[in-house]
Amino acid sequence: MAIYITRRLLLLPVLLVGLSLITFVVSHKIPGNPLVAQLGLRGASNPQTVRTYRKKWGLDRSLPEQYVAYVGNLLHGDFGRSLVSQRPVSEDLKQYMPATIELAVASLIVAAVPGLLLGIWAAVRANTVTDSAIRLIALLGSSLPVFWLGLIVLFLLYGRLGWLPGPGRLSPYATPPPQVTGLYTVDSLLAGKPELFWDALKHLVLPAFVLGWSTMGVITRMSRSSLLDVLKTDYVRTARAKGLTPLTVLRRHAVRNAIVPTLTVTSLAFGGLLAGAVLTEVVFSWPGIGQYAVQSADNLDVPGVMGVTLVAGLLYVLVNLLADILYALFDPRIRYA
Amino acid sequence: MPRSAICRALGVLAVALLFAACSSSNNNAGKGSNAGGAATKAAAGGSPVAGGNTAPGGSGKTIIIARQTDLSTLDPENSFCDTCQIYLSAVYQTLVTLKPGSLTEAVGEIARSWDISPDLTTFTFHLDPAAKFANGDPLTSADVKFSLQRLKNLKAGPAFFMDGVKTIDGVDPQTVKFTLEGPDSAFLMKLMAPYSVIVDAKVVQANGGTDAEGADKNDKAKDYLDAHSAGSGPYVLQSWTRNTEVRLTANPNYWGPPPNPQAQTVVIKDVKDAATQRQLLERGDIDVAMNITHDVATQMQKDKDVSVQFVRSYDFLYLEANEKADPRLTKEVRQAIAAAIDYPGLIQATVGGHGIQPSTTIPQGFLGTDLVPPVKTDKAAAKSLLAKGGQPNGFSIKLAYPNQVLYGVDMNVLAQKVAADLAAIGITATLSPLEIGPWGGDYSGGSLPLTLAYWAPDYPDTSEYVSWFGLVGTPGTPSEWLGNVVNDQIVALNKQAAAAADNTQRAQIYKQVIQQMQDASYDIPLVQPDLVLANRSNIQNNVYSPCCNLLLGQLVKQ
Repeated sequence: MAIYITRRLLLLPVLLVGLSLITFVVSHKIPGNPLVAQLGLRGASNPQTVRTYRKKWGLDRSLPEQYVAYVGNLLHGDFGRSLVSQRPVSEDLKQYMPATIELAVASLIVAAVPGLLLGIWAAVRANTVTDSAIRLIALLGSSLPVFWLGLIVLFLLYGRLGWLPGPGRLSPYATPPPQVTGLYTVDSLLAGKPELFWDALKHLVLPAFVLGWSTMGVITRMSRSSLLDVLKTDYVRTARAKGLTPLTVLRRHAVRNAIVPTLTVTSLAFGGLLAGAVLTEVVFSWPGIGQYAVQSADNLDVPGVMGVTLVAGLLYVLVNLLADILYALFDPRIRYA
Repeated sequence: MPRSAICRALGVLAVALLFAACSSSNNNAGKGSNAGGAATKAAAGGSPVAGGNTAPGGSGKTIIIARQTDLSTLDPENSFCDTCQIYLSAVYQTLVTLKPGSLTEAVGEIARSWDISPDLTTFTFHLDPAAKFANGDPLTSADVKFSLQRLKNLKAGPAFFMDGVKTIDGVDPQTVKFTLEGPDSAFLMKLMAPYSVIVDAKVVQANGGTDAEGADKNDKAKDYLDAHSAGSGPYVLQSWTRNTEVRLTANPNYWGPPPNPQAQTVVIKDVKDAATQRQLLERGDIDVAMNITHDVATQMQKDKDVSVQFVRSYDFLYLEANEKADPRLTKEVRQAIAAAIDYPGLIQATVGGHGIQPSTTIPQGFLGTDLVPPVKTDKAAAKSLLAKGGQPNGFSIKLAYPNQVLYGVDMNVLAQKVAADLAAIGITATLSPLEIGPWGGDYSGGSLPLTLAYWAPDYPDTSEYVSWFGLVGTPGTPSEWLGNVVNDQIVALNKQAAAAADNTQRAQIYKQVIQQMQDASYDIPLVQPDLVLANRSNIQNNVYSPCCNLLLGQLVKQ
């Protein structure tokens, strides 16, 4: 297992360089002038301003030169400077990533726990009204547009009923806690401000629910389908015949063997959540990596776009590696060379 | 599996969610930490608040504003955006500013008085000796000279404000003299722009700033100014969290002019969605919403806790026809296009009637514009002009536009209306929405034959628009990408206007310029949308400022 993990980690730099090359080439092939986005129409039409800007940002060099310089810096952990924020991309990522991580983890909890439980319940009660109801919930989660759902829950639960707080990570009057991790829930506890913790947690409920429901649908259906297959196997029938209780059969034999496909889907979903959920972030004014990615793309901020792409790629690889490790933990038959 | 086990599990989950949602914590979590001006580390790595605890006139209140912020930096001489105007005018001051209710009269802000030479080439300002920065440093001519030289030499977006300035001299600590390369009757107006604010030279220099030649390479003060302010305005920067909020506190050393800051804290929250802003405003979680669209505003008028007004703005949207990119777009064809547009219908379709048609690509209300009536819709005349221009059967053309909502107008709706009006005279316009980056590049590259575009005032004077839209031959303006088109008459009139000290005389000169621009019809103004001012009913003085968008120093919360 250790060798397997090491091998996967050693492949990371190769993957990232390949990803950076593709992103760099594609970003520079997009027609458009980043100068207009940065300087405004007036500034971008002033030859002197343009000359100064291009020199400052290295845009006067050839593309291969720019790429070589970029990779050279990347190997030192330098993602370059954002044309929009005019500061290191790594600073931008450090600012926006925690908001996304916090939302992604909360969404995963909302998705995975009920998703798995509902999937198990639906499989156990297959072809009954309960099963149909659960499948309907899962279908709605997968098919309702996240943007629409976000606006509706915000309108109902915040705008009309006032049951939950509005957009943002904290209430408008609240001051963010001193940054340690960037996760407001954690940082507020570290700062000894429980009221801020609850405020941050309450603000997580709606966006996590919106994002989580769509992911939950996928997890529910996958766990149901996978468990149904396992419940039909000989060894499960044997376990029942031996007189084991249904809960024991489920817990010791069925679920563990059915979990692998669900883990796959969950890890992919988690990777996607970590890459940023733009629509949810816009509706809930959540300053995460999704918004940063769109802002960078809109403004042709190539360093920003590349930074997000590389980080998202890295996260996907790590999450998939984690999933592979969990497979081995859940299913002893799985061993890695 | 027993039903009870699953029920238990789901029950625990539901209770946990309810517990989180129904927690007794109130909306004022953390408010106490604001009240004493406590140090709050900015996400940008800033250090403690520059301001103090209570400002003269500060009421202890917090005003929250929701806005789609477009900030990339808070460095005054580096920034160039709409939200920048609001921030800069709250935290810094200019030598002069616009008299409330006027579009042409200047009143002193840092300057108590000024002298202008008869030939409009020398402007001498006498500073108010009481003027001082938030940290107590006196504001002198050295700060003025440093700030505006840095503006020029950083060569960033707003550098053009100092075009034509030959020298800036500190005659004495309270007197600063500007010598221009030629007469400029609009120079005072340029100094009103928020980008012409005055910073504390000592503080900025101590943190890596420079105003010398080569500042574009050597200046290092941007990062400092992104986390701290160095101004004399009614507020100071407490913190800036990008894409989240800008937090200001009242300047404890605010010297004037009145009014004193009316709130202890002002927070500008980044909320991108208009529907979300509406909900926040109606729930009372914010005090001012700045991006409410016209259709949403109309629905909000029924809420008695919310005040919604439509006020004249000076932003506009226009159609540009580039003959160089498409030789079919001769002068007659362009005039035909102008006559084909159903302007009242367009204003109704895009902004629900809350807007006006400008007479040319100069905001209606600026000097000279009220002397020339706008172009009238006349489809019969349009067809006749089309035939005269060599296109009796019409033609097909691509209509490009930035795919955004600009000044409350959905550009897709605007494009569809324009296309429908052109179709009525035989011109088939194929819509080509583009993202703002690619659109801007194509637009200023002159490759778009027909495009929608937009403009907002950089400073409140007609001269800005004439220099940009007036075909006066300036490189990097439409004059260049429309095919190096120069209108010699406008060039001559522009020079006359620059040398005319009297506004009545300038207005008459600009009237002739506007008539020439209408005749050329390269740029056809479509709509000048009203601005929606939406705030809670207990907020006063939420007014639009042509120079600065929103003057935070005047906002009052009852």
